[in-house]
Amino acid sequence: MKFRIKHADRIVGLFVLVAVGLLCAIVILLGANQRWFAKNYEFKSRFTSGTGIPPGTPILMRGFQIGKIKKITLTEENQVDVVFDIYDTYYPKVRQHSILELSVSPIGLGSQLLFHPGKGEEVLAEGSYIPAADTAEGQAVIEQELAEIPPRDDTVSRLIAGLNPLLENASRTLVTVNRTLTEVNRALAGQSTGPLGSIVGDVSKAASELPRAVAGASNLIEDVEGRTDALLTELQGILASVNEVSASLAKAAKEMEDPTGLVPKLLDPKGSLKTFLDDNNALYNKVLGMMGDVERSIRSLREIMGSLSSEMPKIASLLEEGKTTLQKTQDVLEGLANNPLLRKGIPERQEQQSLYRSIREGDFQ
Amino acid sequence: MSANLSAFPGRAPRRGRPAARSFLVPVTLAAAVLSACSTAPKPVAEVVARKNQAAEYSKLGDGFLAKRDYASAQRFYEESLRENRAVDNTEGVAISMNSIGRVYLAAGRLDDAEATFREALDYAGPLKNPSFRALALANLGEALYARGDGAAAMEAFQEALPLAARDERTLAVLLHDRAVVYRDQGEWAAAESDLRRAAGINQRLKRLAEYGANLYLLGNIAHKKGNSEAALDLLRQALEADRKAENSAGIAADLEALAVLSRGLGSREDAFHYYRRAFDVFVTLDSAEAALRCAEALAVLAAELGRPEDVRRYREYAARIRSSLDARP
Repeated sequence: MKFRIKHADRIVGLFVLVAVGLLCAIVILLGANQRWFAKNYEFKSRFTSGTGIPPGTPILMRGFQIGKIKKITLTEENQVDVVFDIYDTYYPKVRQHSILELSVSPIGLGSQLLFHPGKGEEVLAEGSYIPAADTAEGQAVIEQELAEIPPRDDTVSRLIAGLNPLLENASRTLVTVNRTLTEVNRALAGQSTGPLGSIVGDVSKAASELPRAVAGASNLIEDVEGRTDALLTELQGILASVNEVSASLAKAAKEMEDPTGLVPKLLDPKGSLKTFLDDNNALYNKVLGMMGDVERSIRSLREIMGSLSSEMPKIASLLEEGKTTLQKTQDVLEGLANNPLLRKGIPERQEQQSLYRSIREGDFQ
Repeated sequence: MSANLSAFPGRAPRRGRPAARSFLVPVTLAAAVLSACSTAPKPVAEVVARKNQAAEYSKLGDGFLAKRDYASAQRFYEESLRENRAVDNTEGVAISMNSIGRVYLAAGRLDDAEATFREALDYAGPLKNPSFRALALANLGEALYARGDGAAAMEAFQEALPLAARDERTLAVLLHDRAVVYRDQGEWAAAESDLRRAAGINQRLKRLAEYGANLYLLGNIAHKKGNSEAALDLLRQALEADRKAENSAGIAADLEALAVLSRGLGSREDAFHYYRRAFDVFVTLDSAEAALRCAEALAVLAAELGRPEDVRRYREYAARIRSSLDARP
């Protein structure tokens, strides 16, 4: 079945426009995320070493990234000149007496470049010099408390402080374990009144009742022995009856051996059976043949039934699959029928054609 | 929202967000429009399905009729009729009855054909489209003509012609059929005029089999007027059209006519070849009488051409066909 799409050119055009639009949107969003369209303000600083401040190092203020290192240069005086950007959003924070501080973790957890805003009123102009905290100028700012420096976060102390609750918890657990063990000991000694003590008491009680249970069992066995004797007596009576029946059967068999009995009459050369059967085994052979046929038929029937029963799951599964496929096909066709974008996929109304035939005759003789 | 953000101290407005929003809006709208369309209402599927089934059956019937398998054609047309009746599709009923009548006509059951066409005419009577009535009348006229009642046939054709004014296919059939009656009456000019008009319509509508029939009849008229060369030329054109249409019955008739004409003109070799091809087609069509006619002619022609092997062969074919015809009930 061949499908064609209605207004294919328009739909393709629409999708192309949508795709182009989405691409533009993605590019713009990415650019906005990468601050392609945002303005950065450039400042300068100087450090004694470039360690920990390669280009791209983020500049943090109270956990927020407010800028990044743009360029570092080693001067002739073996100092490191740093050019860094402050994002436009945070530019108003760059006030007079601001400083930069390279904070290095004492236990090797890396370094952070921190920005401490000055307390001055004036916002520094772009390109201004902002001293590092370890320079004389920076130290002066710190000593005079001209910058907002947050309290130090001593990581080691914090770790040690965190250990105390752990130790307390461990101590508490040990005490609890000790108390539990004491309780168990008391229960075993029969001094406890709790659930464990009552369990131990119950076990002791059960042990004391054991001899009485054994005596009960002995009585039961004696009772069973008495009943068995009675059963044996009844069985002897039944055996006597069986003997009587056997004797009757023996007598009947002897009567059948009587030359004037029914069987000899039937088997007599003039009797019905003898006449019927005295056909040189023809009937017997026929019956044998028929039996053989029946046996063969039964065998083949059994084989057929066997193979059928082995095939039944397959047949059932095939039927089920067929049914499922038909249902799915129906769903798909219904879906296609509902789709206005497709045409010629679902059979449209076919016009029944008339037969237009004219008379074709005429002799040429 | 963007106004609030930009008013926040220290936060510069972002230029990317409004641009992204301007793209997202049409995209969302397009998605909503496309997804909303999937619940469009459906036509009444059941009636269309049965009408389509009737059309399918009718198409199958046409195929069998073209192969002269009349029993199968009738069976499928009757199925088509049943489907049309089931959904009270009166137009379809009229079409199916016309088709069944044509099977009877082709099979030589003229009484049945006439009765069926009359019933089709009854069904077509109340229909808005007069071309159904015109076609039924054309078919009825053909049945009457086949019974030898040319006058009644002409009456039917004349009655039908105004009704077919807007249906060129039926009009072409009617003009051709009327030309047949004119030819029988010896009115050559009127017959040729109708035939040329019909041929023009059929050629334009690319109804090649019908166009072939028009040319065949024009050739027949030319022959009757004594212009055998023109007749030969027209028959060759008719053969060409029928071959393009793969109209086996038409091809066989054209070839036989060409053979007869060639023989009459003394071209025995051509006649032999035309007869042989006609014989082959008639055999595939299971048209025993026509095949026998060709085989007998071929045996005679082969003798005249000094081809003893062909004489023996075609006499043998003729004998076998004759015996099979005799064995028919």
